Amino acid sequence: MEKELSTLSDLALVELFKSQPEQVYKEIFDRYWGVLFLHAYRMLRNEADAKDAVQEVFISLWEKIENIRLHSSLSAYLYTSVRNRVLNLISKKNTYQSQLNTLQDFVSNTVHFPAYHGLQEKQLVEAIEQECRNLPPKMRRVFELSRKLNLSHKEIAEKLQISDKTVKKQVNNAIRLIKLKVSYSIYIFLLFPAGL
Amino acid sequence: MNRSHGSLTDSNFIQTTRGDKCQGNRLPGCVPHAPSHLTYSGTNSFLEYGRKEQRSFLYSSDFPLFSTTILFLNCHKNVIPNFMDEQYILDLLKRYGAGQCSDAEKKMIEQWYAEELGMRKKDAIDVENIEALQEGSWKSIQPDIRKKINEGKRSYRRLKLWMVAATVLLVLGNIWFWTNRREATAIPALQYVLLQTAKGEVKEMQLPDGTIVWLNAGTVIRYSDQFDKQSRELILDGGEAYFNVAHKKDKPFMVTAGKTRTTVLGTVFNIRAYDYMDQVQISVEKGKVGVSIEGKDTAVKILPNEQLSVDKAEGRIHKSDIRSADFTSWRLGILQFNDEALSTITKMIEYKYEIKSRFENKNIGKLRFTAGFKTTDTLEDILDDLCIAGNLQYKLQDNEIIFSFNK
Repeated sequence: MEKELSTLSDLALVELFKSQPEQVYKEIFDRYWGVLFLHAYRMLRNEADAKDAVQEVFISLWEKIENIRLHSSLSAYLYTSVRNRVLNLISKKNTYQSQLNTLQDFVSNTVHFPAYHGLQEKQLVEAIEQECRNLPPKMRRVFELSRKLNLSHKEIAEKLQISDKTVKKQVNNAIRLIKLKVSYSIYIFLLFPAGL
Repeated sequence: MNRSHGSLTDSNFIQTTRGDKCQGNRLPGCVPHAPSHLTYSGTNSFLEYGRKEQRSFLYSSDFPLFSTTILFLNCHKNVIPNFMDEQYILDLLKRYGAGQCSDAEKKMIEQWYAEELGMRKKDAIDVENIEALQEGSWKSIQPDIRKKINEGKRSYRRLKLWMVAATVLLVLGNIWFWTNRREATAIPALQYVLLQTAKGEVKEMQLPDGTIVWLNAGTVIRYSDQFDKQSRELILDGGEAYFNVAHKKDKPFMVTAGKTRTTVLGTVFNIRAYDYMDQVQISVEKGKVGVSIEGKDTAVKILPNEQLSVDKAEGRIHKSDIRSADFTSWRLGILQFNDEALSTITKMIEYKYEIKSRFENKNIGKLRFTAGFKTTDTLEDILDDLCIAGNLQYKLQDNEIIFSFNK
């Protein structure tokens, strides 16, 4: 089963959460834990805190996953959640003096240019996803495969010149079909038990 | 058009000329988000920054075309004098975490974060055995997750149990129906007259005995075809009704709502028994009524400006002093909330405006409000006022109101 889930894009994965929560959750954990941890570690330079930050994000993911399905992408949710935890740790512990200092410098030396807006999210996504280079080979492959799967929605849409949403819909329909088939086979199994 | 990005030294002015926009100037000692407030689009203006004041202000004058305007910058007292203050940074981060930053502040922190990350990217990563760390993290989360899965399953199991129980009842009911069919047809069943209103509808009607009844939105009442023969019995199946009872000494007027039975001779009273409420509320405007509760011997007497709340589940009663007008004004299209939970209020709104609603956080539903709204107030007016009072925000989407805490 897990082997199958690893071939699904984030979106398809989240769609399946209701029917097989534990497996889907574990797949998301395996996919993202590495890059999220390395990201938090880079910002905090503290192994235990980085681990805690990522862990908290995953624990609250369980409650949030249904909303994510409706409002944003899984990766965006995870990345910004980790960023928020990291910022929270920086503000709470006195061990992060150097981070506070650079923030202070930034705040006092920068004139606010509206033109920068919107770039941060993209920078954050890129920076976090690049961390996969620092992962052990196996973990890296898991993550890279998932990124390719995520791209595919967009690529299909571009090739066929249909909207991204239509593709998502088609993919979801396909998942539903598969589920239907599975449940049919269960019924058939129940109707004709072994021995017949 | 020139855009001036002046930085201030000793002279305390930023001056702009006709057609100029002043934006993005940093005032000494002012918080960094100030520039966003400082976006000042007036022309021919002359700005001055009061340096020694705790509060900085701008004013435009000097040009005969414009009257003098003084704009106060809404800077926080303790953050102005020294933006290098570490407390300010900690405060900023705290507000960021609580979602209480201005847009400009939020963007600034995120910008810093992205840049900091960029700087740190050159650092080598020296973590050993990430796989083991991941494994360890999974092991500490797993019990928590297992518990959550089991909770989900348990509630599903309970649902299944209920479904089985319902099926059994249905089967038993059928058996009972078929075995008793002959008897049932022998005695003529009572025929009921049904009066009801749709959501968003308030109706005034007259009953056969001359009693005037007002039905609030989504209300069902019924009475048998024997009504007004020996007695006057009526059932309020749900919703809210206001009765101005025609006086008939020998024929008591009785209303059954849930576990309550209200008996009167000739009075004006109101019963609220919506499904979404935990109680049935009976209030009296004129005369006196007696209320008896199923399974209890004594009847309770209620006088004008008194209200009896009867707990639907346990039949507990509570009597309180009210202004009866507050509970009967719905007839005039007035929405009146008397120290009611928002979860009840939204139900009242749902019935009146045929709309759905939900809360992003269930604690929002627990907020209590006392308020009255005129017929001329629109739904938006009501929602705006509630949100201001409760520090909430709402959005309307697909005929649904979604409430959330102010961010």
